[in-house]
Amino acid sequence: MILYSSKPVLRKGTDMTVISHTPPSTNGIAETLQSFAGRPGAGIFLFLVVFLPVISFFAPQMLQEANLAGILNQMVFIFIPTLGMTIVIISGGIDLSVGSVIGLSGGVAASLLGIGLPLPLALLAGIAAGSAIGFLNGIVITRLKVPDFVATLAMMGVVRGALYVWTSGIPFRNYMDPAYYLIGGLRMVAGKLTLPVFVALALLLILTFVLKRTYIGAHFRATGSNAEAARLSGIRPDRVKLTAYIASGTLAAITGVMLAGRLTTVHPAMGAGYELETIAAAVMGGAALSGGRGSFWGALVGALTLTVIQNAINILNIESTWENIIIGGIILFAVLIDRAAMALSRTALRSRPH
Amino acid sequence: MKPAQARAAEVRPHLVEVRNVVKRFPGVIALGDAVLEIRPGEVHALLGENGAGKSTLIKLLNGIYQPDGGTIFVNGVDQTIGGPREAQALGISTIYQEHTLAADLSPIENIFLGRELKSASGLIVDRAAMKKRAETLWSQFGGDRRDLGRPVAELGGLKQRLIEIVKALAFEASLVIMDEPTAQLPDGERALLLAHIRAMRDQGVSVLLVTHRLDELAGTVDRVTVFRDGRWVGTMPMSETSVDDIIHKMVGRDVGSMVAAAARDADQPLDDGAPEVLRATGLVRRGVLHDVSLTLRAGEVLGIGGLAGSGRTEVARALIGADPIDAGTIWANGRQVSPSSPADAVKAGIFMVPEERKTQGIVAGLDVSRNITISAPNKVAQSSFIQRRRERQVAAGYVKELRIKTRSPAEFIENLSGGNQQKVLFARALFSDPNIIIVDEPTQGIDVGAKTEVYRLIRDFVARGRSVIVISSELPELLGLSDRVMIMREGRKAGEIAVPIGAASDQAAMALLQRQVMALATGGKIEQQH
Repeated sequence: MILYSSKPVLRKGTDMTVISHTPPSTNGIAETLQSFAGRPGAGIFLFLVVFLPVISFFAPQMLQEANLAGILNQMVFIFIPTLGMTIVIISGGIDLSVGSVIGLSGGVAASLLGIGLPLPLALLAGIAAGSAIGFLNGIVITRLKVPDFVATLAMMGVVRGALYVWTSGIPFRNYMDPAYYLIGGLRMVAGKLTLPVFVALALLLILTFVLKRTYIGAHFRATGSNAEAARLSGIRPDRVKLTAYIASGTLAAITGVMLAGRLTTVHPAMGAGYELETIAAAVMGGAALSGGRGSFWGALVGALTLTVIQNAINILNIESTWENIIIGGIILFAVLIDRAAMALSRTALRSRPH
Repeated sequence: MKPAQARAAEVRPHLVEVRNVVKRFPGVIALGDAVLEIRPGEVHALLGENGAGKSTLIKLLNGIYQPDGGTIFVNGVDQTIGGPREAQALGISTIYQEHTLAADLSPIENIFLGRELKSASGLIVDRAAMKKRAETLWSQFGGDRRDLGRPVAELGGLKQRLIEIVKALAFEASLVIMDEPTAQLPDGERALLLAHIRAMRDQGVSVLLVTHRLDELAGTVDRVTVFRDGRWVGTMPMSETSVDDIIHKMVGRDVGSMVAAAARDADQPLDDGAPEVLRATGLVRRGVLHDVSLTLRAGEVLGIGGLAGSGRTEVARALIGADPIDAGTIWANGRQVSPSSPADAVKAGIFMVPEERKTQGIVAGLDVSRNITISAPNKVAQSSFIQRRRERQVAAGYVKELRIKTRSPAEFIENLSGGNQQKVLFARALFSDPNIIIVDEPTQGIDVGAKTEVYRLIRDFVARGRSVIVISSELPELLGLSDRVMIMREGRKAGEIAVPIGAASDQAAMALLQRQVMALATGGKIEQQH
């Protein structure tokens, strides 16, 4: 009797009503293009592909090797926290405390180095501070049921304030260790590239693997897409969110300790404004603030686009007062392109013969 | 199969048996003495009106609620079901009415969500194995492999439903509960889904089908169980009953005295020569409303009936411009109007008191007087500044006239009872001086006394030659208040029934009218008048 059988209830070869007769695909290229257009961040990627040659026509030095390497070296400081922001956004949240965490973790590392702790310990302590802030964010959001935006907004203020109180507004200086120049990206390690680029690359590969190949990725997306569906499927959305915030705090802190090496001083305002840049980069990379959607490669394209635009503004000698307006406009434009690409892909798919 | 279980199974041959289950909520008995027996390999329909207790029973079977009394047997064993996961472990999977797929995930990810197949290391998901298993199941439903890799959001309604079924079956469900699975499916896909349900039964899986579509029963369902007001009314083999009989069991309740209170007085008949104040023709909102037309005369109460989700509220929202329409024309008071917002409708003399009192009605944080005057603030303002004193005076007038129980017009609206809040909303409507008021579920969640008062307000309003459209799920209320009832089904006008004067105090007439409305609302055949 089927009720007590341990085999799957439906067996192969049963005669069920056929619901669709899709002919085998005849147009592979079109389908690949459609599938690409439907991917998060595809629109902004196309934008970047078009933008770079066009802008380099006006500013040929943009495409010089030194400048391209410079873009990469600079980009990673936005990219790494954007990875964390992407995880949080995919899970249906938002993390406004990223900039403050960058400042705090840099400050912790710098101050411990200053009192003579070995570099690895100082860095680890700085990163741990960021993870702890992420954990606190997660607890406030999942246990105390404070909305994500409010909880992390409060954390942003509290952490930044604590940094000012701690330092009395005086920057940390004179903590640099020879190895820290390397970690901060002030020395090249391969050609004109610096160590942070390789750290970012490693993080990208590891996180992509985790998101794609372990169940954690699906749980992030399920929680952000439909928390109730996730719960009914036996997932604990609260735990998933907590994990996401810890990841975001940790990744921001990794950025913070490297940035402390790059800047050689940690001002208590270090990292301020990063939260908005990372949100912008994540969204340009196709992350949906409604949750469920986003990608790390998209985050890469988003961070790259932001940096390229800033770089072009510098090279073209555009008055810096225009920078924010231009960046704001391009973010809006990029998101509209992305949405159009998505709509196109879906229309094409729907019109497929059934 | 363990021997002990085998013996138990022989004694109780049912797959799932609900025995005398009681579930109470504060102030309400959601289920009293519920009985349900599901046999292995049958399609069993669970039927009843809104509020009959069907949803509560499903939640009990999933362990989302715990019963306050009675027993649930699964495979003959008395079970305490602690939650959805435990229910699944017992072989009970549920497909809820609101889609429970994560739209951004692919079908494969959805099917295995929270139960991913893992590789030997236990850390990495075995994507190949999940893909293979999903493809095997999906091909049994005739599905295309390429559907499985894209986000679920990109699949159509039928495929989404089938993915949910595959999700349920992938883990050896012996009972699949489906709550309104065919809602929102076009007719062709509906028939296919029902064919799949029959095929599942033939494979030995039991299906508990909750549906409002009584025309789906014949040919698919083996047995039906009817609930009414939280109580079991009967269980019959489908072959020994009829849709008429089922409808009778679903609505066969007493016609209370409440209804008589709501009804038009025999000495105040609707004037035959009363002018038409509202006419809508061919209203279309793609996917929601299909060619809906209606008329309303001065002094008339038009009822709009139908099941939840049938388009009742949507008709009203289209009339007041709250939702855009794709086609159709509206005339109000002799002029053609095309309201693009409720503010336009107010100007044209139409005011709607919405269903969701808490979220769409009251403005919490404002006091009673401001909640009344908010519909027409210029009437209590002088050069754009609201005259607080005049506002209070106006409010005090309504508080007295409508017998709103509040300490003062300056009381915050959220501190009033539901019935009094409703009266404030009615005052708000009256204050903008419309000649047509639309009320959506005007007595939902308010007590009996307040209900009678709301009925009186409606009667007083039409007695002054003005008109009302009433939307209500409560049939006695709908029939009692209305001169005419228009019934919606799936976004279309399914029919119209005139309510004769005096019907409200005639039990037999009322019962017949209710059955007619239900038949139209559910797609059954209309009963002939004897």
